[in-house]
Amino acid sequence: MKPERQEEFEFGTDLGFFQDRIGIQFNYYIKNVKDLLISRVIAPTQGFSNLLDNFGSLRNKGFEVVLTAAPVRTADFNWNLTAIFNRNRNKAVSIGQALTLLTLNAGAPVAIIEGQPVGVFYGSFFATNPDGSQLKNGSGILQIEKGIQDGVLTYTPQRTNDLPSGTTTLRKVLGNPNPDYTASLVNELSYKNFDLRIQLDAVQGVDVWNADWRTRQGVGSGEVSQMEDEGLVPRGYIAGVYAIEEWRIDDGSFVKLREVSLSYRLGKIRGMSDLTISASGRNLISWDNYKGYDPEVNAGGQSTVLRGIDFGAVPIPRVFSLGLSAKF
Amino acid sequence: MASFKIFILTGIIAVVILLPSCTKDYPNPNQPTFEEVYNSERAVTAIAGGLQRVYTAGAASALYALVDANGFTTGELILRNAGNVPELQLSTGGSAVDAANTVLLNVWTKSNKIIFDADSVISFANRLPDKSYASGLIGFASIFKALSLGNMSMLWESVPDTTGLNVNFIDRIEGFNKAVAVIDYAIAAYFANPPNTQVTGRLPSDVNIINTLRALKARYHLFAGNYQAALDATDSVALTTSSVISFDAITLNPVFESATSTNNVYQPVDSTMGLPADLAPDLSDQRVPFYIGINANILPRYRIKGFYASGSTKVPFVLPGEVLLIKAEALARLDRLPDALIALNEVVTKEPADDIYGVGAGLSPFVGTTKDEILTEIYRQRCIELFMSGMKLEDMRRFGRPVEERKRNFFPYPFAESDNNPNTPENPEF
Repeated sequence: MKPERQEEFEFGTDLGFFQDRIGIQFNYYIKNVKDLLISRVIAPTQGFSNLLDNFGSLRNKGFEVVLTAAPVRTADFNWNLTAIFNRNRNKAVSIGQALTLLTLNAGAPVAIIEGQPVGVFYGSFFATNPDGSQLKNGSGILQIEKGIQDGVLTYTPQRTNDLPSGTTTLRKVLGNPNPDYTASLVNELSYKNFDLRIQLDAVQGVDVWNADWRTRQGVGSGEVSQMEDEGLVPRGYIAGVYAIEEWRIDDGSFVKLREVSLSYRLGKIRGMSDLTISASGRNLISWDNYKGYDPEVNAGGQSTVLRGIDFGAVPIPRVFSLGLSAKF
Repeated sequence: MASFKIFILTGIIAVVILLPSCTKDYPNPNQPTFEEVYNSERAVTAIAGGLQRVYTAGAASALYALVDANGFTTGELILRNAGNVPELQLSTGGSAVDAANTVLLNVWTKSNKIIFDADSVISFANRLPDKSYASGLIGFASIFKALSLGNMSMLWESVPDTTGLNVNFIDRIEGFNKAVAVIDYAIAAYFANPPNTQVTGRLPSDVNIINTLRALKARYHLFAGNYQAALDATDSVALTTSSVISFDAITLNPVFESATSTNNVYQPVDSTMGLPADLAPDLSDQRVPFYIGINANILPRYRIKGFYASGSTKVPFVLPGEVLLIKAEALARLDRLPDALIALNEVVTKEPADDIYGVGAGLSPFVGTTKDEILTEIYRQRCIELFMSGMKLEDMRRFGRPVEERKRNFFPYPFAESDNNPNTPENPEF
C-alpha cells in the first residue's frame, strides 16, 4: 500500500479594470489523483468483506471565476459586489475493474465506475412503462426493475404479465453527488455609518442519498406514511418501494441566503474611540426542493469519495447574533 | 471611458507537482501482522476461539442471519416492522428477495470468513510439532468450518469450492460432502492424538469437540443423501453430552439481542409454528411452550423463547432430538420402517426432563405404518423439535413439501460476490 498522490496543473489570470472597479480572476485546473486509497467491497469468498488499497486513479477538471465590482463609489454610498462561479468535473479513470463498490455508508451504494464521476450512487430503480411512466402492479404499487444486467451500465428489462421479471434486480447509476456548479454572490453596501452585507450561496445539479427521509416513512413518521394512513396512496405503497434504492435519491440543489449582517458605527462616544453595533443572521433561507431538512450535509465526513449522504446528520443551524464592539 | 487602462495584466502559470512522498511503511502498533499471529500457538488459539464469535456474535452473525432467513422463508416467523428491508423481502418471498439482501449477505460473508480463518488455523495446526495441541485446534476450527459449509449448502444451489480470488463453485450436495470430509479429518486427528488440557483450557469450555463433530457428521451425511453413513454416524453420538455456545453480558445471545428484546424484527408466527393444519403440533406438545412464549397483554401474543429467551441463553450445536430424527429418517429411507418408528417415537415420547436441554414433546407414541406416513411424521417432528434452528428450508425440500409452503427454494447470490467474482453462478428463478 502506498500514499495517494495528487498532481495538479493550474492556469490562472487576475485582471483589473477601471482603477480596480472591476476585477476578474480566472483559474483552470486539472488535478489527477493516482493510487486512489479507498476501502472497497471484495468478494467475501476471498475471506474478507472489504479491502483498503490503492485502486486506479481519478481526474478532476474545472475552473473558477471570481468577478469583483464596485458599481457605486461615492463619499456617502459604496457598493461592492463579489460573484464566484466554480465548476468541477471528475471522472474515474483506469479503475482496474468495471464496477467498484465502496464499503457502504448508511447503506448508500457508492460506486466508482470507469468513465463515470467518482462516488455515484449505483443501485436498483423503479420499473417504467414504454411511455416512460412508472410501472405499477394491480394494486397501484411501484415495482423494482428486473431483467438481465448486460453490463455495468447496460441492462435489458424483462416482463411477465406486464410485471418486471427475471432473476436479477437491475442496477444503474441513480445519481451523482458531484454538483454541476457552485456559486456565491456577495453584496456589500455602506451608507454613511451603516454597513450591510448580503451573501447568497448556490449549489446546483447535485443528488443526495436521503436515507433519513426514507427511514421516516418506514417508521411511520414521514409525509408518505401519513399519505398511506389517509388512503392517498395505496395500502402497502411504502412496503413496495422501500427496498428500491432510487427512492432514496433526492434533489440536493439549493440557493441559500447564507448571511445578512447590518452594522452601524456610532463612532466616538464618551471614553470610547469607536463603538459599533451589529446584527447578523446566517443560513436564513434555503430555496430548494429537498425532502429532508438540509441538503448541505454529509454523513460521510471529509471522505474523498463518500459525498451527499444524509443519514443522521445534523442540519447546519440558523444563527442569529447581536454584536457590540468598542475600542478604548 | 475612452481613457481606460488595463492596470494589471498578469498571467500566472503555476505547475504544482507534488513530489513523491517518502516510502516508509509504518506498522500499525495496535494490530499484529498476519505473520506475527501465525507464529504463536496462543494467538492462533485465540483465532480459533474467535471463529465462534464470528459465527454467533451480533445481528451480523451467521447464526442470527440463518435463523432469520430460514424462519421467514419457511413461515416460522412473522415480520414486526416493514422498515427492516431484508426481512421484508424474505417475508414477501419469491422475486422480492434479491441479491442486495443483507441478511443473506451476512450468512455468506461470515461463512466464508470462518472458512478462510479456519483453513489458516488448520494449516498452522498441521505444522505444529505438538500433535495433541494441534488436534484441539483442528477439531474446534472444523466445527465452525463444517457449519459454514453446511449452512451455505442449505441456502444456495451452489457453494464456493474454497476461498481465494475468483473461486469456483460446486454443487451444494458436494458442499455437504465437503463438510463431512472436514469433520472426518478432524475426528481422525482427534483420535490419533487426543487434545491436551493446554489447548482445551484455552478454548471455550462449553464446546464438546468430538461429540459436536460426530453429530454434525450425521447431519451432513443425511443432507447429502448418504443414509447408511448418516445412520452409522448417529450411533457414535452421545445424547446426554452437552455442547453449547455460551454468551455473557458483553456478547449477548444474538437473537435475543436483536429480535426477542426489541420486538421489532420478528416473532414466531403462532402456536402452529408455521405448519399446515394437518401437521400442526398437538395441543399438549410440551415443545410449543418451550419454544414459544405467550404475552397476554402486549401484542403480538406469541413471543420468541427457547434458545433465544435471554441474553445469556446458551445455544446448543446439535440437539439430541435431531440426532434421533436423523437416525429415524435414515432408517426410513433405507426402508427399515420398524426401526425408524422406534427412533421416531423416542422423540415423540421424550419428556422435557429427560432431555439435557429440556426439549421434550411428552406425547404418546406415533402410530403409522407406511413409509410416507413415517417420513411425514419425521418432517413434522423436525419442524417442532428444531424450531428456529435454521434447518427447515432444507427439510422442506428434502421431504418434498408442496412448493407453496415456502417462499423460496434457493437464494440469489449476494451482489458483493457476483460483482467481484466472475465465476458466480446464475441466480435461481425461485
